[in-house]
Amino acid sequence: MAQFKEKAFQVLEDAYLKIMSEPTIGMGPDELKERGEALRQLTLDMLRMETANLSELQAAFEVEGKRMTEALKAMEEAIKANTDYLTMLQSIDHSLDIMRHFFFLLL
Amino acid sequence: MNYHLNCSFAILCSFLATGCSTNTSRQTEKISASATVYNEHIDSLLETTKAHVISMDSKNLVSSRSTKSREENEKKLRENNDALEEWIAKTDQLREQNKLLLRYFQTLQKMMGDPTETDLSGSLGDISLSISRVNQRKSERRGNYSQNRALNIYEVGHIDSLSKMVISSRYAGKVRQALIRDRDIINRQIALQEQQLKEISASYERRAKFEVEDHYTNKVLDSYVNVSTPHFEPVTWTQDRLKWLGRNKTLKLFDDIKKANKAFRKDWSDILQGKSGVGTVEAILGDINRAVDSAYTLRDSRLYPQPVYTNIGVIPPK
Repeated sequence: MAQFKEKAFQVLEDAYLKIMSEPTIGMGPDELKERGEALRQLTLDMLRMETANLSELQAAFEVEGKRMTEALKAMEEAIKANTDYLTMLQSIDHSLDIMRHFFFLLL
Repeated sequence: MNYHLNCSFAILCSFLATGCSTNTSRQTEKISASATVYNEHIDSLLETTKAHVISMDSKNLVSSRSTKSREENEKKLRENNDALEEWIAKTDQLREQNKLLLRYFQTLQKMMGDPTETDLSGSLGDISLSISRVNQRKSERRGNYSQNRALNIYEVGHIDSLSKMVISSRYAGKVRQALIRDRDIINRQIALQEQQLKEISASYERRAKFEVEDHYTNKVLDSYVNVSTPHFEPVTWTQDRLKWLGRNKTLKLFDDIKKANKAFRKDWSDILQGKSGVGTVEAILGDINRAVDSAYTLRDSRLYPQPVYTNIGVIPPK
């Protein structure tokens, strides 16, 4: 479980940094909206993971582990893919949607 | 927090220096004074971490705020408030535990000075009971899964091995009895706090990394490459770039504290066996002093003087 936790943090951090690495000047409303929501959701998920202990993570993983692992992999691919900024944001957002139930279980 | 535990250990070590060796009380005072300074600075370090976490959370709420849907904003605010309050409760709990641990070791120190004082043994028992109750409150709040909180198998094993350790017969009867009675609670607390130190330092490092990236993207990269910026200010830009280049000091802030914490954990084991000596105390104080220097570096750092609200993209109405 510790390994999973480390991997999840690494992917969420990488996603955050990738989104942040693009200056907002010149961005249109759609990009700003996607960007702001993705950053908020990533921070929220990290906060929930930081507060949860390993037993709580284990319990959530038993229910949502498969979907969570797939979503993390998809997010990793979205970060590395050479797409335009908005497409990358939408892919990350889609992965975050799949992860939502896992993080909800940590509450 | 764990840091206070280190402080507490320094105090505990100081009573050993006076109670079990020929060291002078002056040396004990010196150790206690360093421990107090350390305690205060670690406390401010915890506050700084908390401020960074809250600042980043607020910043992201602002950047995702809708100008069209009240319900959406209410939902977002509620979600973030709940998660943040839980995180803050966790750090506040650490502070409470550390205060109790500090009181525990201070009382133990007094007891070493006068083992015949009956009241002190009772006070010590009350404090150790309070420490275990603080842990229980978290379990009650978050359900049965939290019974062992963040303890992993290795740490539970370590607690067991310390619980079986024979307490040195060099201690006076009442002190020895108190150590036997309280050691499980203190052992457990040490293991928990070591884990919590790792988590809090990771939280801090994570936010610092994000802020560095934000600073670089908006103050260094964008300012330099963007030819449409009306006013490029070379002096400001040079200062911003310099701040960015000094980022590594801030990111390694917790390294010495982690090192000190490991040393204290070993020292607690030596204390139970009556083996701890002045040499160990001096080595630990070296780590503590470095940690205090790092805390000063953070406090004086101009890279993140206040929460910086840059790069905020409030969604405009269509």
